[in-house]
Amino acid sequence: MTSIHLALRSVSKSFRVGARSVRAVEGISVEVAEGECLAIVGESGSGKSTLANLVLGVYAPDAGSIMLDGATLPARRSLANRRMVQLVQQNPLSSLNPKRTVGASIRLSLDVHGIGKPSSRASRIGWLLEEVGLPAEFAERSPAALSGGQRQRVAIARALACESRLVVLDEPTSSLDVIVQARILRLLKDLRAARGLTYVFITHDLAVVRNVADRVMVLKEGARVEIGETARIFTCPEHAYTRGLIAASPVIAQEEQDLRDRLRQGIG
Amino acid sequence: MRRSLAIISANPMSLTGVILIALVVVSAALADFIAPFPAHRGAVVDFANFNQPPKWPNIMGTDLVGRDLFSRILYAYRISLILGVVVLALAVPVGIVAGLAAGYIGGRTQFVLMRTTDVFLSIPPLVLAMSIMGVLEPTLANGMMAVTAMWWPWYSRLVFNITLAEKEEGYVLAAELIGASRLHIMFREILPNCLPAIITKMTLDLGFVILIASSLSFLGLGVQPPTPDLGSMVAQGASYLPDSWWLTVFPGLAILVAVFGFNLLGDALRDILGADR
Amino acid sequence: MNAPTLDIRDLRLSFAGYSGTVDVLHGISLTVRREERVALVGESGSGKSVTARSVLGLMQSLQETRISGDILFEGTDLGSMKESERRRLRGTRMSMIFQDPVSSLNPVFRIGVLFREVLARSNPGISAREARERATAVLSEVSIREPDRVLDSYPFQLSGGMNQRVMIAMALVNEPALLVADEPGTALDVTVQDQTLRLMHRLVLEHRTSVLFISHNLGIVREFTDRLYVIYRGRIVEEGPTQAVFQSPGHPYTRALLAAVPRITRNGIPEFDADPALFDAPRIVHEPTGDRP
Repeated sequence: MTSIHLALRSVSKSFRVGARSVRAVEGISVEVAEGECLAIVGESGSGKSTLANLVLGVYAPDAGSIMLDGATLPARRSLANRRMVQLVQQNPLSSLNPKRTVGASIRLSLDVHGIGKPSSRASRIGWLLEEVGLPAEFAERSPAALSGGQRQRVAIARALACESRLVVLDEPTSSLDVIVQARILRLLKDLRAARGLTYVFITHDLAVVRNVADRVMVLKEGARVEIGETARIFTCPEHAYTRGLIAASPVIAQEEQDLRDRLRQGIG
Repeated sequence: MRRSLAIISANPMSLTGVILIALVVVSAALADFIAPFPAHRGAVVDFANFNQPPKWPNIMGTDLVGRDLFSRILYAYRISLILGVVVLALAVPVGIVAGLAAGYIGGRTQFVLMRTTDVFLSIPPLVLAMSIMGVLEPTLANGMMAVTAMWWPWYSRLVFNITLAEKEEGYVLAAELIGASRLHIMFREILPNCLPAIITKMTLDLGFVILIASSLSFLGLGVQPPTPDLGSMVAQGASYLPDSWWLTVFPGLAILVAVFGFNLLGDALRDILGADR
Repeated sequence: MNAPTLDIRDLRLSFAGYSGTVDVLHGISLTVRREERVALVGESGSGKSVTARSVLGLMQSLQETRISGDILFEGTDLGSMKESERRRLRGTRMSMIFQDPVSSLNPVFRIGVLFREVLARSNPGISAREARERATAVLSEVSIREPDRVLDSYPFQLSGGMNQRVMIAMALVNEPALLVADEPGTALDVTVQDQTLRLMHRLVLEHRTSVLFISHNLGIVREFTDRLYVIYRGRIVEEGPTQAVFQSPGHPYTRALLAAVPRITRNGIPEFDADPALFDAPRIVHEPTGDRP
């Protein structure tokens, strides 16, 4: 029996747009088990990014609560709270400061949270880089000298530096080429196994979801459409919206085409 | 470095800028050795030799009390450069702090800082400096203060605009989620990304500061005699035009060379540092 | 007139920068026959967009580019044309659809005005009424139900999918011989993208338009093209009928690409770790945004 790592209890969030108030997330409840990978899928405006930001504490929910390891997180997160959850962003071009070296970007996590003795931090940075498949010497490099995939590896190393067990992955491979994407997905999978990480994987790409997630939650206009085991969602989705999403995904193989055709018929 | 050299040498205007500024800086720094009459920087009179047109050894002629104009221009450059550097050294940090705080913290901080900036920016610069100088004693130190007071808002506006854009970058979010302090994010994360634009602007501004300081002393509000100053030299010579043309033409050209040189250099830096904001 | 719509022969292109010359295309040859839909598939930095821009005649006039080889459009070499002639070709015989519909439509004009401008390119004397009629007709072809409302709107008042349809309608309204589609729909949601591409496909079939389809998305290429070229580091590494290439890819790069695409039917991220350098950065040294190292 694995324990619940992250729990959202009827979380809602609205934003003021001009004079109106727009519901971005509406009463979402979900539990993510220790070591699980939950994918949150939806199109633009589905609220998936808002949900990610709520988990990360970028802003607090209007209603409902967010619990980590059984304890409710406060609206204003403490340093210790921050250390418990980290983020890997979509665009590694923007998520690494172009004016700081790779090592300095990773070091920030160590310095802020006082991880390891100051004298040992350089070697710790080297280990982290090696763990994500980069040579330790990359610490001296500037992000501009790295390819997109290498930058994303650095961003992952930075997220690991805090020793968080929960990582929010916000479209981590959407801006990468397909072979690089495959490598990063493989790395994320290996890291999850090695470190026992829990992932909240935000994406619009269903094929990626099929390959990484244990469970899938489909969002539409801020509300939950359905949630279930990945294999089940893909073979017999309950909701027409989910069927439409899968049926619209570009495919390259005949078996995928067959699945899509079958789901399309279901839509009518 | 190789790329910087390539950019500079590919563009004759940039090369001109670099050469002009090198000349200005070297002549100001080595004035003691270059100037044929170093003593003429001060209160020297030589009535036997006053108001002479250019001829050896006074290659730019002499002024109304017989001092060598060339020597005085070299020392005036020194004063101008010191003034420019000091003004920017005071104005830029103030502008940076105000711009970063307003841009990153936002809210009431932004309102107060940026409205103050706007007030300063809305007063014509020379008028602002003149009114400050009118109240204070016209000394070099007060002149610097006056010019500084009108200069920082340009930097707070520049840094504010860049900060607003950089704040949306992922690296700022990453630092916030790690739990880094506001000071760290402002000065260690965002500021380095503002520096190319700041440095470019500073280079351009050195020319303008010299110009404004000259304008002030032209109006009698800046550096006081006998200290040599390009603006007051032009002002004094102006009443003797066109007969004693050298009194105004050479100091005027000296101002032109410095301002023009810093502008060209600033444009070259903009290309090198890739700062186009 | 038996010349293919587009015939590129040994196209070489390099950029001259401050730090020296960078070769981007190393001899691209490709053909788009009449009524054929051909894909140019590659990853970022492969040179596919530069090729598309050369076809549109946008690279020839740039100071820093060196181009050699021929681009024959309906038998005429683009390189031998004057800049003004190339410009006249764009939007009339040859048109384009870009990735981001919103930024490729001028936001300060209503759609109706933009349409009239496009129509005036091939028929300068067209009257306002005639233009409006043609625009209304072509908008209904792209399944826009209220053409009048759309024609009176500004681009930002319409959704992304609607803008993309307007783009398609505009690209086809002058009955071009060739449509260059550079990553169409990539900026859209997957369901909207699917609808848009289907619509575009139906229209090019009806209008018998040849298409050069630039894409990194193998799934889309598989569905909407007859033949494909795979471009890797500025070279064509494989070409053939789309179905055949998907069934038996010849080049190791094509095989790696196909293996790397995640499938919706199974969990199968391939191991590429045997050689981490292999295909990791198929970028040529230049950055498309123009920032130089």
